[in-house]
Amino acid sequence: MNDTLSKLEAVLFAFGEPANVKKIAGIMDLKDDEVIKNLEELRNYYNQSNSGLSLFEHEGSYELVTSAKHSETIEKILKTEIDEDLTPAATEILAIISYLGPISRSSVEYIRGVNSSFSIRTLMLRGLIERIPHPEKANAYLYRPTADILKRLGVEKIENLPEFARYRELKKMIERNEETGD
Amino acid sequence: MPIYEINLENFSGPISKLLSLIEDKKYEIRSVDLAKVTGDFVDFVNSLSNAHPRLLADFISVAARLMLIKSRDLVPDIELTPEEEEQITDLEERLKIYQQFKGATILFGELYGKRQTLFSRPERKRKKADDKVVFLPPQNLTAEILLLNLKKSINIIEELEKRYEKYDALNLEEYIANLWDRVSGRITKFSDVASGKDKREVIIFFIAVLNLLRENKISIQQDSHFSDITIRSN
Repeated sequence: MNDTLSKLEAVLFAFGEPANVKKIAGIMDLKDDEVIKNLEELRNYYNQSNSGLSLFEHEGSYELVTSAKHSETIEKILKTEIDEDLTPAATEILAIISYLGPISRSSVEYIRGVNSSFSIRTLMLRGLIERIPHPEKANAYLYRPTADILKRLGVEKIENLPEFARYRELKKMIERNEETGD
Repeated sequence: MPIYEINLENFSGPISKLLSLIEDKKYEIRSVDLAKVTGDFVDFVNSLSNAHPRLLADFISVAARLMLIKSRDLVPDIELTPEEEEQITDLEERLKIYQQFKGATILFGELYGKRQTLFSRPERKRKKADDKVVFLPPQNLTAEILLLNLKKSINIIEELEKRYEKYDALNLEEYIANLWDRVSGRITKFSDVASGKDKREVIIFFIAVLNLLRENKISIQQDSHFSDITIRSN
């Protein structure tokens, strides 16, 4: 590990909470793209060196987390907040929002063919999904997975969901159909 | 949990059900095959009689489209409107999307079941460090300055108290009695009651109106948002 990487590791450890690229760049006196490059290198280093740590990314913020393979051990110290089983409807909605999010409620309902407001509200209360204002429509919202559910799944970043790119392709199809459909 | 919530949580919805009917028979997503499963789907909808109306409505809407396909199948001469044709295409598209996405839901469920959680450093401990109480008085702070500021604050409170003294006399019972005197036996506009009153009194009069309404002594009517309220005594 070179000096920059080890400094980056120390900075992330000291933060102990998600830090965005700008923040890290300011502290380390690096350019944003240099930080991103080093973050990727650190992630590779962790993945290749049998480290007990992983680098987790969500919405442009990074933090050190314990690696998935030690989950069982660390669970003895730290309880995961997301412990309940998921109902079939909850699993389906969470999958749709995780793979295709940020996504509107109407799109979720378009795919499922069933009103999903109750389940979406419950998932939000449980901290598994969060809503953000729609960038183009006033008073409308989009839903996306929270950092907590991604950590619970053991994925370091959303793109690491199994076969992410393949299922992501469906988003275009849905958007096209929703415009022409009802 | 009420029954309908269990229903909503355990059902994947009509698209999922229809797809499983088609796949069970190794059919394809095309109208000829959709027509063949219409009967089974309608039977299933009938079995849902105890389901929540909202859930039922979504199933019936799909059943209606299936019946449309079926009727076209049975009566080839039947002419469908462009909207009806579109509804059929839309149903087929949705089935295809659902079919393609289904794998993601399975993968997601499996991943969740693996319990390979990534843990962050515990937030609780971090918060404790942040909340640490430190005594850091400004420079030049003396007991005299503290006393002076305390007196200032007391003065402000006293002034505020004086300013609101007249409101201490406001008594809801009196306002209700007062209002009742004014509206009893006639039709009154709320704007007349409120005219010349300050905001606080208007609010109390409004509460008085709500009280009389609750006691069934008056009826009120408001034609649109923010328009005047007409009060009639009963």
